[in-house]
Amino acid sequence: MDTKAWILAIVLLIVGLLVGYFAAGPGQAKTVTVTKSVEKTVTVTKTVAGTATQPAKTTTAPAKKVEVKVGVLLPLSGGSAFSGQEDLKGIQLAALHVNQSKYPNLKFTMKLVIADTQTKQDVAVTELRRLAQEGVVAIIGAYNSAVTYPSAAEAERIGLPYVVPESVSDKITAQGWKYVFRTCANASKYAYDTLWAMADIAKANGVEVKSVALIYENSDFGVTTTEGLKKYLNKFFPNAKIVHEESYPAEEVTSMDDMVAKLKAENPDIVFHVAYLKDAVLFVQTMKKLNWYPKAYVGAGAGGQTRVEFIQQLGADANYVYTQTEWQPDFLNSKALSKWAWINDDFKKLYGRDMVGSSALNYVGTYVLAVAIQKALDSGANPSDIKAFRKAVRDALETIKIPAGELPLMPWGVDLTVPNHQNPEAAVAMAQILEGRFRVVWPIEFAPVKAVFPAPPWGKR
Amino acid sequence: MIELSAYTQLLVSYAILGGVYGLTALGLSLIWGVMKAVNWAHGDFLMVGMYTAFWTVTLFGIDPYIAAIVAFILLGLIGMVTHVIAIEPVVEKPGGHEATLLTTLGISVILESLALILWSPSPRSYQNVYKNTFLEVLGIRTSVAEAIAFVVSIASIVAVDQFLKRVKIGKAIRAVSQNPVGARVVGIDVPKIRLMTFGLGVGLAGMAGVLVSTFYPNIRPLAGYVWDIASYVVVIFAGLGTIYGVIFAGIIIGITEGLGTIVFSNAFRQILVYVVFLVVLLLRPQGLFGKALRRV
Repeated sequence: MDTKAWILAIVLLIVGLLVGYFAAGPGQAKTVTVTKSVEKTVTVTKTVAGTATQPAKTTTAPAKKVEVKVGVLLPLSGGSAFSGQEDLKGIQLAALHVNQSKYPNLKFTMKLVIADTQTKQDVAVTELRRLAQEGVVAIIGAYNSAVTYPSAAEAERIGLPYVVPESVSDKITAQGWKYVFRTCANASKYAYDTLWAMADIAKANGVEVKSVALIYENSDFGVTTTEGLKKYLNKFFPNAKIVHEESYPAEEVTSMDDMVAKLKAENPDIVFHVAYLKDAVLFVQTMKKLNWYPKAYVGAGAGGQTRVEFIQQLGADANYVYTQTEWQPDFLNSKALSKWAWINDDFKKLYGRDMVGSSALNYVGTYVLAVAIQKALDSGANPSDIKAFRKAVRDALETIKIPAGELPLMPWGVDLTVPNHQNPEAAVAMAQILEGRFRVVWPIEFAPVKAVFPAPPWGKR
Repeated sequence: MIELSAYTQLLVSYAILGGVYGLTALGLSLIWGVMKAVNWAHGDFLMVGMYTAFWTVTLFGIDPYIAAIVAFILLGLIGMVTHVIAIEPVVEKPGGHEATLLTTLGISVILESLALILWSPSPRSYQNVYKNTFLEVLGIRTSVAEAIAFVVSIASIVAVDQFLKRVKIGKAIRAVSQNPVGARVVGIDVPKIRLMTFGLGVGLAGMAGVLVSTFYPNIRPLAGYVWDIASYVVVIFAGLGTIYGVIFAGIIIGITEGLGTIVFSNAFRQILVYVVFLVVLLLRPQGLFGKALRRV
């Protein structure tokens, strides 16, 4: 190789390394910056909170509150960064409310130590170990099931309580782990609740469902959700037959005319569709083109139909579509949950928009963890003995039982006393798009509006 | 089993889809089939065309078919710039045609990454009356947007074919494609003709992107991929160098895809297309309408 090439390569390498060093900075400093930005948020909200009307009065803080460190493990960069950032907003708001004594029973200060999983399993495990060394008493995270699973296994190994507020994969709570707790529903529950909701809605409208069709995209998401639907179908619809079942590749599908034509010929009462955004939009568009609509078209698994873009892209044609949803601001219009509207108001003041499913679920997970930490403190455990305190928090988590209505934001309660630590009360709500908005229609007792069932045909809209 | 009326409906739907495949393949056919440069970024130019439609329609409220003209001109210019930086410097070097594969791959990566940064990965689409207005003939329904795309597809393929055969510049394009040295000898400005061919091909891709976006709800940075693969299949199936063959190849592939989904299921839609594709290539390696290369 000639000398010039060598010199050029070495110069480039040195320049690259220098640029990299100054751009990234040393590893530890990164966490400090993140924590600083959290404190910044805290100050901002404090001023905001002064003007807001709050149910719990902000009394002068007691002289000395115990500070407890909680580790947050989320994908803040990489493929799921967008969702991870949303989750973090929910967790930060919950910690802020704890620190502002918005919940009078929680009398400690929660300090968040935030770590980025980069949507990678190995990074998540390494970061979890680092958080453990930094003295956190528990972990909350980590959005992606595939990342949550190995990091939760590591937490179990080192005896660090781990609260899962959003990852749905069934296997996370199927291992009999002692330190892992899930506050949200798991994947099977999504399928179960879809059927439960539609059975309730059909019954309330006096319609008997005799036939259903299952349409799903053929990746892991569509296949597992549909398996769940098939498993529980006859429990909720004992007389219904599956008249058509078909999967399709979501990425490559350029036309859905064939599926809709087949469905039109079979004319099932309900179509359950597990889809991403594009295929969901294309499906509804094709139903309109071929002039057919079932009594109910249901987006199962909280996929494409639950996104705002679904309504934006279809306009009025999105009306009457049912979609599973983890949370909607519409819940706060119901009698039972309106008392939690102040949480969403605070969120709006900070970010200029409503909370979404991810931020609400993570808020709730953080709240549950805070309740457990308080219980551990009340039991006399000493936070400076970190090992014993983690054990005390774990024991406290195992006794958590919060009835529906008392849990912030959600139309369900929390019961972690069950052996697998999978909250059996967590439900996935059903929304229907009415007049261009997601309206919660199930659970019926928390629903501010009544579902329209059967949907009117295209010609009569 | 589905009824006869549903069956006819599907054949028509998929023939229309095939016509659209022909349209998306036209620009590629011109660049690859006629100019003999491999344009790996074809799908990305389609994608830029889709975004052109999205932004012009949502920001300025203009009709998507006017956006198609805007995209044709805009993408034509982008195509010429691409040609200057990625094609012309390598095309005459030894192994130049293979090199264009790599340089356009680079362009493809740049366009996709820029789209991700500028417009995020979230899929978009825009409201338009054409996809919500329907034509019904003998009980067979289709949206106006798809019907227009089909008609424009045939019209532009005929236009490009006639342009290459009758217009002076078109003849020069063919001359450069057949014998660049001979073309230079008779006084044709070869680099200029190549520049125009590439610009025209990319412009057509942009226009196709707009027409697809009128009924296909998926404008996102990787949206070109599906249509890109279909375009390559159509061009090879038709035979390199034929323009009018593209429309027939497109329709045949569309109907094959439809039959795959009707007879079997959606999981088979691509399998059947590629089986037919391989069989045709085994029997006619030059493609359905291509001329066999003579041994010299």
